[in-house]
Amino acid sequence: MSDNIEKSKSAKTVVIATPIIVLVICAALAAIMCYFPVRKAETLMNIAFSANPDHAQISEIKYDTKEVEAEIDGNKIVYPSFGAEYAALKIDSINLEAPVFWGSSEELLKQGVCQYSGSVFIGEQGNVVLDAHCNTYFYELGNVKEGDIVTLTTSYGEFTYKAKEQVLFKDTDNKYISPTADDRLTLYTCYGNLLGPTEDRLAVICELVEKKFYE
Amino acid sequence: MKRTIKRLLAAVSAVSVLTFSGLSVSAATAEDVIGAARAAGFLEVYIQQLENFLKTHSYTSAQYDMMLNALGNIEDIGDDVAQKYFGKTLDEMRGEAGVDKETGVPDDSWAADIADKMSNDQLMSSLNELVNAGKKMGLDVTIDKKGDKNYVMTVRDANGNIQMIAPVGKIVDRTGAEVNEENSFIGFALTSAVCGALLTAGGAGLLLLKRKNESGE
Repeated sequence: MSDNIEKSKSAKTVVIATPIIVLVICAALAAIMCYFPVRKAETLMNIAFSANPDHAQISEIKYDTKEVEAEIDGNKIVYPSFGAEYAALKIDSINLEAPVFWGSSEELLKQGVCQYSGSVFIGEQGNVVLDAHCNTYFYELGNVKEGDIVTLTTSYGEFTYKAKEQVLFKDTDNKYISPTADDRLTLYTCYGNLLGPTEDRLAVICELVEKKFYE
Repeated sequence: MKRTIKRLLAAVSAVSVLTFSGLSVSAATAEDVIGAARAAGFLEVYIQQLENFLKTHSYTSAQYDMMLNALGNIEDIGDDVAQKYFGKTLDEMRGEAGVDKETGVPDDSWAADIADKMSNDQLMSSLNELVNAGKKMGLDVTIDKKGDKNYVMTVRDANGNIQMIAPVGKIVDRTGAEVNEENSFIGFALTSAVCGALLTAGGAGLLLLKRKNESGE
């Protein structure tokens, strides 16, 4: 009799516990399988709802705000201060419009596209180097094809470039972000990993098509 | 040491020439500072960065002199490395380098070689020269170590405003997915931990049930 009661208790435990345990395991597996699509969706949401931030509201970090006016070959140019939003990047082929900040830091990379301060100011002759996170503004950078038009608009002019080639390089290779004698624009971001840091970089190198300084 | 003596001799001869000839002293300029940085073995990207910085900030000739002095000391450190590993001076190495065919700018691979051979201590000493020069100029220059031969230099003015942030060593930005666990509603570490714990608990539960079943039979 007590054996039967014991067996019945055991059977009850099995009947109740089994679905719970199976449910827990299924939930854990589902969570693991959903992680990557959810992260991707989060990235797309970030891009879709990224506001064009007011520089003053970026953070509590204080940046120098002094701008310097100068002239290059008779054209007026305004040198920005570090951290200033001083241009807008537009690539119609990937529906990208993004603010460009002078200088690069972890803080600034959260806000938009950053210009490496070891590259020439937009409008000057040489290599203009811009980069952004691969899960925000430069998510679609890999889809920029040869011949696509890229424009940079500043308070002193508009500069049009044409995508020439895509290259892959390692984060220890400074070649593509180094100064050049020709006028070019280099856009780069991380390659091959949407979930965290990677040592591979994808760059789109563009050649200058037109420099238009405002009067 | 040799370079220091060379500079001392140059200074003495310059002073004597000026004293006896009555010529006027030409004040140090931003161009002099850029030239000194190139002589000290700075990579072209750092020179461009310095050039940009000097375009947006003006200093007195006395302050430029402070920069020249610091860059001269950095050149000494670079010279020691060049002599030790390449048996040449920085001047000689720079003289042998031509123009990079691909980029059309001065080939600075020799400067990269020097930087590669520099120890962390030598790199820190070089950076400390900039920190000290900054201090004399009323700037707050801080260096944060990010890894092996990998630093970030931040220059602030007297009011604490950031004037420049410059990576030193690894200069390609970290543009990987920005994973901010605070803002992200689903963090990788958290997900892994929770799912791992659930699977372990589930597995243990199934094992217990199996045992219970077996003992019940």
